Amino acid sequence: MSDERSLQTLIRMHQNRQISRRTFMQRCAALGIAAPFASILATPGVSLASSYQNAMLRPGLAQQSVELTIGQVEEPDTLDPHNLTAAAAGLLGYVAMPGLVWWDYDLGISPMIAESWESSEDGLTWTFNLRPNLVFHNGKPCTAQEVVRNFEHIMDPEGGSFLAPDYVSVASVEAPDETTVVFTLSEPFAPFLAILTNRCAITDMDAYDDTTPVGTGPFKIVEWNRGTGVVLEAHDQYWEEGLPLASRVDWNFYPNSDSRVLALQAGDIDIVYSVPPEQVDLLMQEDTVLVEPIPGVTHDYIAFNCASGPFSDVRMRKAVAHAIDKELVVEGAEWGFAHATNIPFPPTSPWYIEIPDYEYDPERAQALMAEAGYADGLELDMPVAATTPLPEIAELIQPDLAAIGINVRLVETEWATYWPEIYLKGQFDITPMGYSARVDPDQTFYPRYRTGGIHNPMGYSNARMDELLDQGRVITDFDERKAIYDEVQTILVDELPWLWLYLPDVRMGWRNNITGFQQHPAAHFYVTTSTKEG
Amino acid sequence: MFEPTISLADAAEVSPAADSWSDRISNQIRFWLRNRLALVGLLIIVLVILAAVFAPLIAPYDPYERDVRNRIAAPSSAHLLGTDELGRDILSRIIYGARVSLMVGGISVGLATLIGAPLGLIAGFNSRRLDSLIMRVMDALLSFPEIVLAIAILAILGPSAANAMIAIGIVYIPIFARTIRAPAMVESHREYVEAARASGATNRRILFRHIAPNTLSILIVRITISLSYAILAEAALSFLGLSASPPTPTWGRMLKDGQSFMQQAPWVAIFPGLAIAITVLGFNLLGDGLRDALDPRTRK
Amino acid sequence: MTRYIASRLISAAGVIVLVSILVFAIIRLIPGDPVSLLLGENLTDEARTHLIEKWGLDQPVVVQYLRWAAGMISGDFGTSLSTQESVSSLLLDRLPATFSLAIFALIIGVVIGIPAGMIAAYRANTMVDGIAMVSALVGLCIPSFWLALMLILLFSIKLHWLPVSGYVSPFTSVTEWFTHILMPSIALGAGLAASISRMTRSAMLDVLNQDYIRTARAKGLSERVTLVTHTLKNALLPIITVIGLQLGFLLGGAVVVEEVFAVPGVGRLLIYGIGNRDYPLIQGVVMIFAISFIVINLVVDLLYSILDPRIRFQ
Repeated sequence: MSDERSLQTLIRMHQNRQISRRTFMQRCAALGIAAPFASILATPGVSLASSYQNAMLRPGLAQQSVELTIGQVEEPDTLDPHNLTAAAAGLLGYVAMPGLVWWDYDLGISPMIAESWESSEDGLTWTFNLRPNLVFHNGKPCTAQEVVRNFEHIMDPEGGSFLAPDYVSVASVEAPDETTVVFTLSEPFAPFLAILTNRCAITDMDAYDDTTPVGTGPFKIVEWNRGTGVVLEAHDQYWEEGLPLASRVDWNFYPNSDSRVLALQAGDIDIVYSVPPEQVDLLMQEDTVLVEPIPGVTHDYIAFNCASGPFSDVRMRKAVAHAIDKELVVEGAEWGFAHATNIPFPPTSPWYIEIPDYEYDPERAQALMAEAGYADGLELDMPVAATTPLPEIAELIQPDLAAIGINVRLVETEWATYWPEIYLKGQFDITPMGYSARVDPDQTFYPRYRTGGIHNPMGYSNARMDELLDQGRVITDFDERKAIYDEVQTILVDELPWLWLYLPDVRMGWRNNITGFQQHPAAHFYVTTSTKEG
Repeated sequence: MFEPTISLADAAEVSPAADSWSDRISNQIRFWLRNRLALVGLLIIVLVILAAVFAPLIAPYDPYERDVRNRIAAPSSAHLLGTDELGRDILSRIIYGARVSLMVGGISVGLATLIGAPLGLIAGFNSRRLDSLIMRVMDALLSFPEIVLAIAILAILGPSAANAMIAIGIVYIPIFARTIRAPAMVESHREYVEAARASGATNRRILFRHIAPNTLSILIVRITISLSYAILAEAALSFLGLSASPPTPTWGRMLKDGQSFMQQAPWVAIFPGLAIAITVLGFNLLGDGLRDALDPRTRK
Repeated sequence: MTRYIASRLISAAGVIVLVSILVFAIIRLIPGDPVSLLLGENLTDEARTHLIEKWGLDQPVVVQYLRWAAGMISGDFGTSLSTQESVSSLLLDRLPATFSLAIFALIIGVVIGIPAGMIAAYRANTMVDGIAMVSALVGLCIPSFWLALMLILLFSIKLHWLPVSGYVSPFTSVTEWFTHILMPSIALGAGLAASISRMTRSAMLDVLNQDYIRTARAKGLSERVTLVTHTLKNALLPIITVIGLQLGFLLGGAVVVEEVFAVPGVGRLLIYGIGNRDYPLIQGVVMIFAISFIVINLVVDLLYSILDPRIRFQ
């Protein structure tokens, strides 16, 4: 009881910025609360809901012209609606051109422009009911036929959309009436719904454009000033009454992280998309700025060559797992703003399963090496992509590996060479890497661990794994799938084709007069309910 | 920063003819003042070389030893120049960093000299056709901004200290070819060349025995000044992440890493920059002094 | 004169052709293919084949080169692989920032460099000369990217006077444009000012010791008149050469400085192009660099030959 009271006090103190996140986490640990949960507690969710309600209760607010300025990171290459990169979709695509469903704040799948859906017993027919009064930014109604035209374009192999391969199992897409869209699949495909959340923008095909595309989202893209930013204005015929709250949003690009942070400190921008980890503590000391890192879903890991070389022996991979001090890597590479992990999902994900991790135990590691026949140690090259935080991770684990006799020489290579020539071609024994988040475990695991998978340069192959991954694609029942992917993750932790290190936190920052803003765990960016006070 | 393509030796600072008595004195003063600066330059270079060679003896800490809990610590008696983002001693890393800078600078300029100078000699001495062929290729190489060419070469070869040497070396070849071509041309029309030829000397003999030695002083000045620019170039490339891989300490890389902490820990970026500037200054001072001493136009 | 100009033009054209072949060849030697980079985690075999055909990367290299070269003659630099926009329009978008930077840096270099060099020459071997020349030497030794960081530390972080990075078009706001371009230009212009002042000083000293200047002085012309009308005019030739050559160097230096200040210029476009193995984009940027450099050199040569007729007959 007293514990609960002190926890509430802690949360309040933290929200009022009387104590730093680090202190908060330490005190939570003292109360016996595990770090991932403490960090969930640290998210400003409670205050958020109420400020959103407050805003809704004052209808006049929407008419006031609230202008928000957002500090984004890299400029997208293109805003071609059906060829958005994951980053461009997360930054702008989902706000301007939302799809049928979306990946929500709790990492589940929720209605977006479709208000409901059902799938047939056999999993072959998916029926979506669109919201009524759905209108594009240019005033044209967004009917089921319009949605069908989008999917016809996406699925056309000659249509030039990268998303086409995702939809090979779709046999047809039809619009029986103005608000119903029916997909018919040629075979059951469990991740179908998840694929619809992935960059699948619904645009006005008659106004298809790669700089100022037209969607149905709360904000419309008015102008893209190359090199500077994108200007968005509120969509006055947005389906949700009273939203968005802001009338104009300036999406400005700040590729340089210092300038992003300084601009936030100076009040030139209201919300920054990403605060570099080394600057988080600095910003936490500011009165006018809020930074509340929340657990994210990207993952950094070490990949092994499982097909040849010293790490084709699983004992060598386990030796590395015992040799690396993950907490030190988290502290060193991410300044503590990440969570050590042994699987790719955070505890908040529906696919999370708790599996005991390898303990940091260099002696055990050496014993395993001796068993594998490497008692005298070995020397090898470790390729590293020159993309933060991979070189930092490499620098941090290098002494750990040296301590058990694995002497690695770091070979830093630009991403543009590393990705196609070294990583995808499996030209490594051991290498640190990072992957971005995927909604469905099938997307996460199938291409990476199935024998011969296109993202399986490790050469990992396990018959049971292949069988599980094939089943996971066709079974639609959540509990059955959960059991399958629990086993998948248990095998992966045991066999270690990848050694997961940590999940970096999502670290956005905002001025303290901004309300109704919530960070998305996949770093997608929504400001529909955000506004500025005073 | 990369070397301006004009040869500083071409744009020689010709000392004024000394007519009046007071002019003569001031000339002397200037000469000694310059030589004193050259001496300072030499001293700096010797110190940097000593630091590089005896780094393990001089450096107070292991430059690779991480101490995450003591990261970006301000300069103190324990760490004279503070620590970096992994808690490594900045002074020790700067001392070790001199190795990469000097090695890349030295070997790349050596490479450029060994290829560029003979090309310049041949171009200056030989027929019009060969001359114009060599010089057009050099012109083509020179029409890329040097950093752009170096970045492209490193993109092909992959970033590493050895490849940075090759890239900078290739970029500087045309500069050496140009520098040597002009004096070689002048020398090849001198009487002694005619005399040697009349006495049956081969072209090769004339070129390397007679003409080459007469271009040597210009070459030495050129090498010294190029060294300063090559060190700057290496710093720029490692600032862009195109030189030695981490955790090898290089000055440009340290500076780049420090850029993220300019607010909290400016020393992480300040000191490596000073190390670059001081070393480059050393080579420039020495180069200026040597030019005054060796350039025939000033040696009156 | 016409013959001289014609021969210079022909040789410049030759160099441009040579450069275009070099550029094309070098870029194709770079490991890494644009297709898998663009597709990233969405890489599949079908998508790859589709893009390779779409971009014409399945054609023989010679055909690819000829297509590109032919397009360039009509001003078409091809289409960027990663942004799907025409390279010419990307370049036109980015050139204003780089040119603002280069021209501003040049102004800083000239406005500081020439007077400093003149004063140093005029007061040769005095304290003033010493200070000017030592500062010039220091200016040559400081890496532009380090100077850039020190400027940011002082003017942005400590004093909050100037924005840390970015670029605003002068058509949007002239003051914003100025405050954004100031620090990068200083970082780029400092080294230039240093070499211009060194060059000016030595060229002026040369001229100051010529007989006619002595005569002018003896005639009792005021010092200022002598300095400006007679001396500077005659010292201008080598100074112009240095400035001309430095313009090319400025474009190269802009690559690094744009990176530090995140100025959306041609240099960053190049780094981006290399990072994405966007062949047409890299080719376009490098060609623009090379052509500017060659044209500047040509102009300097011609200017030179106008100022000093002896050049033509060499």
